Amino acid sequence: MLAKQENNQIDFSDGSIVLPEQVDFYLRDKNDYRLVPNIEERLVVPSGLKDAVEKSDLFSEEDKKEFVFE
Amino acid sequence: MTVCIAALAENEKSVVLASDKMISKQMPPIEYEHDVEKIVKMTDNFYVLIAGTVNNAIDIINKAKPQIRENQNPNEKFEKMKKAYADYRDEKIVDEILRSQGFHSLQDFQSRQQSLNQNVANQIQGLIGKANLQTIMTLVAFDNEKCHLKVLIHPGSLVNPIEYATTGSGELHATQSLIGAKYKKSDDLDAATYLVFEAKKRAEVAPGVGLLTEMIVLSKQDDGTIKERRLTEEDLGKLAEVYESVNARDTEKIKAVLVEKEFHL
Repeated sequence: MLAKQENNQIDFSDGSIVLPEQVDFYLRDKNDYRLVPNIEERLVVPSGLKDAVEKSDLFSEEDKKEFVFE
Repeated sequence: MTVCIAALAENEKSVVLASDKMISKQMPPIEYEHDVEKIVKMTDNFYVLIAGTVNNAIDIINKAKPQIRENQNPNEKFEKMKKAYADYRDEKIVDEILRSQGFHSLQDFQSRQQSLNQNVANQIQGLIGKANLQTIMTLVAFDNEKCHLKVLIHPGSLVNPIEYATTGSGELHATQSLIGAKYKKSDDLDAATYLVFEAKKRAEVAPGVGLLTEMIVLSKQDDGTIKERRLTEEDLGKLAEVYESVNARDTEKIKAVLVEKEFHL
Protein backbone atom coordinates (compact mmCIF):
# COMPACT_ATOMS: atom_id res chain seq x y z
CA MET A 1 0.00 0.00 0.00
CA LEU A 2 1.29 3.45 -0.85
CA ALA A 3 0.71 6.37 1.43
CA LYS A 4 1.98 9.90 1.58
CA GLN A 5 2.19 11.73 4.84
CA GLU A 6 2.23 15.47 4.86
CA ASN A 7 1.39 17.72 7.78
CA ASN A 8 0.03 14.78 9.75
CA GLN A 9 -2.39 13.87 6.97
CA ILE A 10 -2.29 10.54 5.20
CA ASP A 11 -3.18 10.47 1.53
CA PHE A 12 -4.40 7.05 0.44
CA SER A 13 -5.21 8.14 -3.12
CA ASP A 14 -2.23 6.34 -4.70
CA GLY A 15 -2.75 3.09 -2.90
CA SER A 16 -5.34 0.43 -2.25
CA ILE A 17 -6.25 -1.26 0.96
CA VAL A 18 -6.04 -5.06 1.02
CA LEU A 19 -9.34 -6.20 2.42
CA PRO A 20 -9.33 -9.08 4.91
CA GLU A 21 -11.50 -11.15 2.54
CA GLN A 22 -8.65 -11.26 0.04
CA VAL A 23 -6.36 -13.11 2.46
CA ASP A 24 -7.43 -16.61 3.45
CA PHE A 25 -6.19 -17.34 6.93
CA TYR A 26 -8.54 -20.27 7.45
CA LEU A 27 -8.94 -23.91 6.58
CA ARG A 28 -12.46 -24.42 5.23
CA ASP A 29 -14.81 -27.35 5.15
CA LYS A 30 -16.84 -28.39 2.05
CA ASN A 31 -19.47 -25.78 2.90
CA ASP A 32 -16.78 -23.11 2.91
CA TYR A 33 -17.17 -22.79 6.68
CA ARG A 34 -14.06 -21.49 8.38
CA LEU A 35 -12.52 -24.09 10.66
CA VAL A 36 -9.15 -23.24 12.19
CA PRO A 37 -6.49 -20.72 11.28
CA ASN A 38 -4.40 -22.16 8.46
CA ILE A 39 -1.12 -21.81 10.29
CA GLU A 40 1.14 -24.82 10.80
CA GLU A 41 4.14 -24.65 13.07
CA ARG A 42 5.86 -28.01 12.95
CA LEU A 43 9.20 -28.95 14.43
CA VAL A 44 11.48 -30.71 11.97
CA VAL A 45 13.33 -33.59 13.66
CA PRO A 46 16.26 -35.52 12.13
CA SER A 47 14.88 -38.84 10.85
CA GLY A 48 17.59 -40.74 12.75
CA LEU A 49 15.79 -39.74 15.97
CA LYS A 50 12.34 -40.96 14.91
CA ASP A 51 12.49 -44.22 16.86
CA ALA A 52 13.96 -42.62 19.98
CA VAL A 53 11.37 -39.81 19.98
CA GLU A 54 8.44 -42.16 19.45
CA LYS A 55 9.51 -44.38 22.36
CA SER A 56 10.30 -41.52 24.72
CA ASP A 57 7.88 -40.16 27.33
CA LEU A 58 9.61 -36.77 27.17
CA PHE A 59 7.13 -35.60 24.54
CA SER A 60 3.35 -35.46 24.76
CA GLU A 61 1.27 -37.27 22.16
CA GLU A 62 0.17 -33.84 20.86
CA ASP A 63 3.81 -32.79 20.42
CA LYS A 64 4.69 -36.03 18.65
CA LYS A 65 1.90 -35.43 16.11
CA GLU A 66 3.47 -32.06 15.25
CA PHE A 67 6.98 -33.40 14.64
CA VAL A 68 8.07 -33.83 11.01
CA PHE A 69 10.89 -36.36 10.59
CA GLU A 70 13.19 -35.68 7.67
CA MET B 1 -3.25 -37.25 34.90
CA THR B 2 -4.59 -36.68 38.35
CA VAL B 3 -5.59 -34.12 40.92
CA CYS B 4 -3.47 -33.03 43.88
CA ILE B 5 -4.51 -30.35 46.35
CA ALA B 6 -2.49 -28.76 49.15
CA ALA B 7 -4.34 -26.04 51.08
CA LEU B 8 -2.96 -24.01 53.97
CA ALA B 9 -5.25 -23.75 57.01
CA GLU B 10 -5.29 -22.31 60.53
CA ASN B 11 -3.16 -19.36 59.39
CA GLU B 12 -0.48 -21.59 57.90
CA LYS B 13 -0.09 -23.70 61.05
CA SER B 14 -1.74 -26.58 59.20
CA VAL B 15 -2.07 -27.88 55.68
CA VAL B 16 -4.66 -30.22 54.14
CA LEU B 17 -3.39 -32.56 51.40
CA ALA B 18 -5.53 -34.60 49.00
CA SER B 19 -4.98 -36.66 45.88
CA ASP B 20 -6.64 -39.34 43.81
CA LYS B 21 -4.95 -42.69 43.07
CA MET B 22 -5.09 -42.77 39.28
CA ILE B 23 -1.88 -43.80 37.54
CA SER B 24 -1.19 -42.42 34.04
CA LYS B 25 1.72 -43.48 31.87
CA GLN B 26 2.76 -41.85 28.62
CA MET B 27 4.61 -44.87 27.27
CA PRO B 28 2.74 -47.15 26.87
CA PRO B 29 -0.30 -44.84 27.18
CA ILE B 30 -2.26 -46.40 30.04
CA GLU B 31 -4.39 -45.29 33.01
CA TYR B 32 -5.57 -47.30 35.99
CA GLU B 33 -6.61 -46.80 39.62
CA HIS B 34 -4.12 -48.30 41.95
CA ASP B 35 -3.49 -48.18 45.67
CA VAL B 36 -0.47 -45.96 45.14
CA GLU B 37 0.37 -43.05 47.40
CA LYS B 38 0.80 -39.80 45.52
CA ILE B 39 1.44 -37.96 48.77
CA VAL B 40 5.02 -38.90 49.61
CA LYS B 41 6.58 -38.29 53.02
CA MET B 42 10.20 -37.19 52.56
CA THR B 43 10.87 -36.28 56.22
CA ASP B 44 8.61 -35.55 59.21
CA ASN B 45 8.32 -31.92 58.04
CA PHE B 46 8.46 -32.29 54.26
CA TYR B 47 5.93 -33.90 51.91
CA VAL B 48 5.63 -34.06 48.12
CA LEU B 49 2.45 -34.50 46.05
CA ILE B 50 2.85 -36.03 42.60
CA ALA B 51 0.84 -35.14 39.48
CA GLY B 52 1.45 -36.21 35.91
CA THR B 53 3.80 -39.00 34.92
CA VAL B 54 4.31 -40.84 38.20
CA ASN B 55 7.37 -42.92 37.32
CA ASN B 56 9.36 -39.76 36.53
CA ALA B 57 8.28 -38.23 39.85
CA ILE B 58 9.33 -41.34 41.78
CA ASP B 59 12.78 -41.27 40.13
CA ILE B 60 13.18 -37.57 41.00
CA ILE B 61 12.16 -38.24 44.60
CA ASN B 62 14.62 -41.14 44.88
CA LYS B 63 17.34 -38.90 43.47
CA ALA B 64 16.63 -36.06 45.91
CA LYS B 65 15.81 -38.03 49.06
CA PRO B 66 19.40 -38.84 50.18
CA GLN B 67 20.22 -35.11 50.11
CA ILE B 68 17.23 -33.92 52.10
CA ARG B 69 17.50 -33.54 55.87
CA GLU B 70 14.77 -32.66 58.31
CA ASN B 71 16.79 -29.75 59.77
CA GLN B 72 17.19 -27.97 56.41
CA ASN B 73 14.97 -24.91 56.01
CA PRO B 74 12.11 -25.11 53.44
CA ASN B 75 14.04 -23.14 50.81
CA GLU B 76 16.98 -25.54 50.98
CA LYS B 77 14.62 -28.49 50.53
CA PHE B 78 12.85 -26.77 47.61
CA GLU B 79 16.18 -26.05 45.90
CA LYS B 80 17.32 -29.69 46.29
CA MET B 81 14.07 -30.85 44.65
CA LYS B 82 14.42 -28.26 41.89
CA LYS B 83 17.96 -29.42 41.12
CA ALA B 84 16.92 -33.09 41.16
CA TYR B 85 14.08 -32.30 38.71
CA ALA B 86 16.33 -30.38 36.29
CA ASP B 87 19.16 -32.96 36.52
CA TYR B 88 16.73 -35.83 35.92
CA ARG B 89 15.34 -34.09 32.81
CA ASP B 90 18.86 -33.52 31.49
CA GLU B 91 19.77 -37.18 32.09
CA LYS B 92 16.67 -38.36 30.24
CA ILE B 93 17.42 -36.08 27.29
CA VAL B 94 20.92 -37.53 27.08
CA ASP B 95 19.79 -41.15 27.54
CA GLU B 96 16.80 -41.02 25.20
CA ILE B 97 17.87 -38.51 22.53
CA LEU B 98 21.51 -37.49 22.47
CA ARG B 99 23.32 -40.77 23.20
CA SER B 100 21.92 -42.34 20.01
CA GLN B 101 23.53 -39.47 18.09
CA GLY B 102 26.94 -40.06 19.71
CA PHE B 103 26.78 -37.40 22.48
CA HIS B 104 27.42 -38.42 26.08
CA SER B 105 26.15 -35.24 27.79
CA LEU B 106 24.38 -31.94 27.10
CA GLN B 107 27.73 -30.16 27.44
CA ASP B 108 29.22 -32.55 24.87
CA PHE B 109 26.38 -31.71 22.44
CA GLN B 110 26.78 -27.96 23.04
CA SER B 111 30.54 -27.99 22.59
CA ARG B 112 30.36 -30.04 19.38
CA GLN B 113 27.42 -28.15 17.82
CA GLN B 114 29.78 -26.16 15.56
CA SER B 115 30.93 -29.33 13.87
CA LEU B 116 27.35 -30.38 13.05
CA ASN B 117 25.26 -29.32 10.09
CA GLN B 118 23.65 -26.13 11.49
CA ASN B 119 20.14 -27.26 10.53
CA VAL B 120 20.53 -30.57 12.34
CA ALA B 121 22.00 -28.83 15.41
CA ASN B 122 19.03 -26.41 15.47
CA GLN B 123 16.56 -29.28 15.05
CA ILE B 124 18.06 -31.20 17.98
CA GLN B 125 18.10 -27.99 20.04
CA GLY B 126 14.40 -27.54 19.22
CA LEU B 127 13.70 -31.10 20.32
CA ILE B 128 15.56 -30.56 23.61
CA GLY B 129 13.43 -27.46 24.21
CA LYS B 130 10.27 -29.56 23.79
CA ALA B 131 11.42 -32.32 26.18
CA ASN B 132 8.97 -32.23 29.08
CA LEU B 133 8.79 -34.73 31.97
CA GLN B 134 4.99 -34.15 32.19
CA THR B 135 5.49 -34.18 35.95
CA ILE B 136 4.33 -31.56 38.46
CA MET B 137 5.26 -31.77 42.14
CA THR B 138 3.70 -29.83 45.00
CA LEU B 139 6.24 -29.30 47.78
CA VAL B 140 4.99 -28.89 51.35
CA ALA B 141 7.54 -27.97 54.04
CA PHE B 142 7.32 -26.71 57.61
CA ASP B 143 9.83 -24.51 59.40
CA ASN B 144 9.66 -23.37 63.03
CA GLU B 145 6.95 -20.85 62.20
CA LYS B 146 4.58 -22.25 59.61
CA CYS B 147 3.95 -24.31 56.50
CA HIS B 148 5.35 -23.29 53.08
CA LEU B 149 4.07 -24.39 49.66
CA LYS B 150 5.79 -24.42 46.27
CA VAL B 151 4.92 -26.07 42.97
CA LEU B 152 7.76 -27.56 40.92
CA ILE B 153 7.03 -27.50 37.20
CA HIS B 154 8.72 -27.98 33.82
CA PRO B 155 11.62 -27.47 33.16
CA GLY B 156 12.53 -27.26 36.86
CA SER B 157 10.96 -23.98 38.03
CA LEU B 158 9.39 -23.21 41.39
CA VAL B 159 6.02 -21.45 41.48
CA ASN B 160 4.65 -19.79 44.59
CA PRO B 161 0.96 -20.52 45.22
CA ILE B 162 -0.79 -18.16 47.63
CA GLU B 163 -3.21 -20.14 49.79
CA TYR B 164 -3.54 -23.44 48.01
CA ALA B 165 -1.96 -25.38 45.17
CA THR B 166 -3.95 -27.55 42.78
CA THR B 167 -2.25 -29.62 40.08
CA GLY B 168 -3.08 -32.27 37.48
CA SER B 169 -5.88 -32.59 34.95
CA GLY B 170 -8.40 -31.82 37.73
CA GLU B 171 -6.61 -28.58 38.60
CA LEU B 172 -9.21 -26.21 37.13
CA HIS B 173 -12.17 -27.99 38.71
CA ALA B 174 -10.50 -28.07 42.13
CA THR B 175 -9.46 -24.42 41.89
CA GLN B 176 -12.96 -23.33 40.90
CA SER B 177 -14.40 -25.27 43.82
CA LEU B 178 -12.05 -23.56 46.29
CA ILE B 179 -12.66 -20.14 44.72
CA GLY B 180 -16.43 -20.72 44.89
CA ALA B 181 -16.13 -21.70 48.55
CA LYS B 182 -14.08 -18.54 49.23
CA TYR B 183 -11.34 -20.72 50.72
CA LYS B 184 -8.95 -18.84 53.02
CA LYS B 185 -5.79 -20.01 54.72
CA SER B 186 -7.29 -18.72 57.97
CA ASP B 187 -10.07 -21.31 57.71
CA ASP B 188 -10.73 -23.62 60.63
CA LEU B 189 -9.13 -27.04 60.14
CA ASP B 190 -12.36 -29.07 60.01
CA ALA B 191 -13.95 -26.71 57.47
CA ALA B 192 -10.71 -26.61 55.46
CA THR B 193 -10.57 -30.41 55.39
CA TYR B 194 -14.14 -30.61 54.11
CA LEU B 195 -13.58 -27.92 51.45
CA VAL B 196 -10.48 -29.71 50.15
CA PHE B 197 -12.46 -32.98 50.02
CA GLU B 198 -15.21 -31.16 48.12
CA ALA B 199 -12.65 -29.75 45.65
CA LYS B 200 -11.30 -33.26 45.05
CA LYS B 201 -14.83 -34.63 44.49
CA ARG B 202 -15.57 -31.86 41.98
CA ALA B 203 -12.31 -32.64 40.15
CA GLU B 204 -13.45 -36.24 39.61
CA VAL B 205 -15.32 -35.18 36.47
CA ALA B 206 -12.04 -34.16 34.82
CA PRO B 207 -10.40 -36.72 32.51
CA GLY B 208 -7.83 -38.91 34.23
CA VAL B 209 -8.92 -38.17 37.82
CA GLY B 210 -9.63 -41.27 39.90
CA LEU B 211 -12.46 -41.86 42.36
CA LEU B 212 -10.24 -43.16 45.17
CA THR B 213 -9.09 -40.48 47.61
CA GLU B 214 -6.09 -40.10 49.88
CA MET B 215 -6.09 -37.25 52.42
CA ILE B 216 -3.53 -36.22 55.02
CA VAL B 217 -3.73 -33.30 57.43
CA LEU B 218 -0.48 -31.92 58.87
CA SER B 219 -0.42 -29.54 61.83
CA LYS B 220 2.39 -27.75 63.60
CA GLN B 221 2.31 -28.57 67.32
CA ASP B 222 3.33 -26.29 70.20
CA ASP B 223 6.40 -28.46 70.84
CA GLY B 224 7.56 -27.88 67.25
CA THR B 225 6.72 -31.35 65.96
CA ILE B 226 4.39 -32.01 63.04
CA LYS B 227 1.28 -34.08 63.70
CA GLU B 228 0.18 -36.22 60.77
CA ARG B 229 -3.48 -37.27 60.55
CA ARG B 230 -4.22 -39.69 57.71
CA LEU B 231 -7.95 -39.74 56.99
CA THR B 232 -9.48 -43.19 57.35
CA GLU B 233 -12.17 -44.74 55.17
CA GLU B 234 -14.60 -43.82 57.96
CA ASP B 235 -13.48 -40.16 57.91
CA LEU B 236 -13.79 -40.03 54.11
CA GLY B 237 -17.23 -41.66 54.36
CA LYS B 238 -18.42 -38.91 56.73
CA LEU B 239 -17.06 -36.19 54.43
CA ALA B 240 -18.81 -37.88 51.49
CA GLU B 241 -22.10 -37.77 53.40
CA VAL B 242 -21.65 -34.04 54.05
CA TYR B 243 -20.80 -33.55 50.39
CA GLU B 244 -23.96 -35.38 49.32
CA SER B 245 -26.16 -33.34 51.65
CA VAL B 246 -24.57 -29.99 50.77
CA ASN B 247 -24.67 -30.65 47.04
CA ALA B 248 -28.03 -32.44 46.80
CA ARG B 249 -30.02 -30.86 44.01
CA ASP B 250 -33.70 -31.17 44.73
CA THR B 251 -35.29 -29.60 41.66
CA GLU B 252 -38.73 -29.62 43.34
CA LYS B 253 -37.37 -27.50 46.21
CA ILE B 254 -35.60 -25.17 43.78
CA LYS B 255 -38.82 -24.83 41.81
CA ALA B 256 -40.77 -24.07 45.01
CA VAL B 257 -38.32 -21.28 45.97
CA LEU B 258 -38.46 -19.85 42.43
CA VAL B 259 -42.26 -19.78 42.64
CA GLU B 260 -42.09 -18.17 46.09
CA LYS B 261 -39.74 -15.46 44.72
CA GLU B 262 -42.09 -15.00 41.75
CA PHE B 263 -39.33 -15.79 39.26
CA HIS B 264 -40.84 -16.96 36.00
CA LEU B 265 -39.75 -16.57 32.37
